Amino acid sequence: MPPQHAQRGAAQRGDRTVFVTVGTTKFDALIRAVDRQAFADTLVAAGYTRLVMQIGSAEYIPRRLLPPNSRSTRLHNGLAVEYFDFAPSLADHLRAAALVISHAGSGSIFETLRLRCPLVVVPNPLLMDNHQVELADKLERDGHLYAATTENLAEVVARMDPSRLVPYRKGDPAGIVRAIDAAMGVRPKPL
Amino acid sequence: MAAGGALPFLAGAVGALLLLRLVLAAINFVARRRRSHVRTLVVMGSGGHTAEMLALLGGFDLATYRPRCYVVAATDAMSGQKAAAFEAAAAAAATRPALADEEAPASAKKGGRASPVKAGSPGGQNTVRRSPRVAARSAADRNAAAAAPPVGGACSALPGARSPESPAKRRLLAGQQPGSGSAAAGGSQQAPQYSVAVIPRSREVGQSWASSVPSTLRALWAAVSVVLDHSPDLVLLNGPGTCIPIAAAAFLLRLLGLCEGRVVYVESIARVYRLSLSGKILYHSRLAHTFFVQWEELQQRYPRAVYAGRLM
Repeated sequence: MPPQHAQRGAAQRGDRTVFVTVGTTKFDALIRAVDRQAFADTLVAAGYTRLVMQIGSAEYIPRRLLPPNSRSTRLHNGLAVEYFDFAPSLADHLRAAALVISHAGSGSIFETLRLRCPLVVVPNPLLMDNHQVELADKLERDGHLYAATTENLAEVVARMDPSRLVPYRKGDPAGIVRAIDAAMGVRPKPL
Repeated sequence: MAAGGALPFLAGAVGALLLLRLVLAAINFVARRRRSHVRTLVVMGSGGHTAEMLALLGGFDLATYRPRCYVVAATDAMSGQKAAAFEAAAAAAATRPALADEEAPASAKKGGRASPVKAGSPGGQNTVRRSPRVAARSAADRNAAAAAPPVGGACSALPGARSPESPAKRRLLAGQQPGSGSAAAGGSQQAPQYSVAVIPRSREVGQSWASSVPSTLRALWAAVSVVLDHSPDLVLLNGPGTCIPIAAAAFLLRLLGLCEGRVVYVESIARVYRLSLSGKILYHSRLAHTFFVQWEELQQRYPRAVYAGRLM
């Protein structure tokens, strides 16, 4: 296990948290894929102790893992499970996570990558022309994250090795800005 | 017979238009040479597009790229709020070095004729403006109008009303010396110069094709009045929604010599191999002077596009 990644969650409360997020979208299929005893067992086998789901505007409530009308519970296998719909900022959840499973929105992806948190991305197959796949595919090819589908998510989480992920170098607007400065005849901004 | 009579008239009209265009272009050219800053029109998409646009703006020298007008779609209150938050943060960042180092305020050096930082910049009216033709009754509109909270006490929100000043007058105010402006309440704070314009969406998701024709025309009309009103030197586009009507408006006004603004489009970072629909339209129609993409792969497929790094 990579020391840097493994200790992220541990630093919090001795927990190794998996944070599942759909952002502001509706992605019931992802919540459904996570809300399974088999998936919970996979997480425990991989050394995770806590599962937090941000379900957004989902119609599907994770009721297979959680008892009715309950937002948190602890499973027989020891996994703590909880969910919520929205939060003003997901930054704290992302920071506390040992693994993030996210929809493929570019906002969520780059926020997670910036925090150097291991990331599995699941593009939503229902989206029109599904351009989300492009970004997830490219970033997986460059080794920054793992891409999965709602079908093979458990398998990807089981076999992934976060230590092999390549840290993403944050983008920099300077290149585009300098080109626009030149086109507008403006002196570049001093650093 | 009728055709014979109409021909000279038509030729005369075209000639007059061409002459008008020439004169306006000359005026614009002189005005641009004299201006020390770049009037910037920022068209906000939603969600990830907004984040990318604000990342881009963060790289600019905001003392030069001003005043800024943010264009948001009528149903997208969130983007207006984010623009206001960005401006508030920029204003806070601009005052900090000025307080720490009064001798050499960084933002005053580059502002050309702009005011010394200590006195605060006049004419920093941050107004939420709307074209009067815009259907302005939706609740989302009101949200967006409330999206620009008072910054440094120098902000007045005028929902539902056109800016009282003509563009020319506002330009004059922006170049004036300090002391006479409305930003006195801001004290030593440099009031950010920005405004928010709300225009209707050309097409909502799921809207039928036939009903989208009048709404597209309405959006175009609103876009024309926004471009005319702000008379930008630079138009920044990066996403869906209001981006096409604004680009079309800038093009139409350019034909008439009423807008010499440079149209710059930055394709979303989510596009690695294929352009988005907005991107395709702007690339193939050449409505954008400069077309940035954020991946080399995409640049290879579209040779006129420019790759200059990524925003996120």
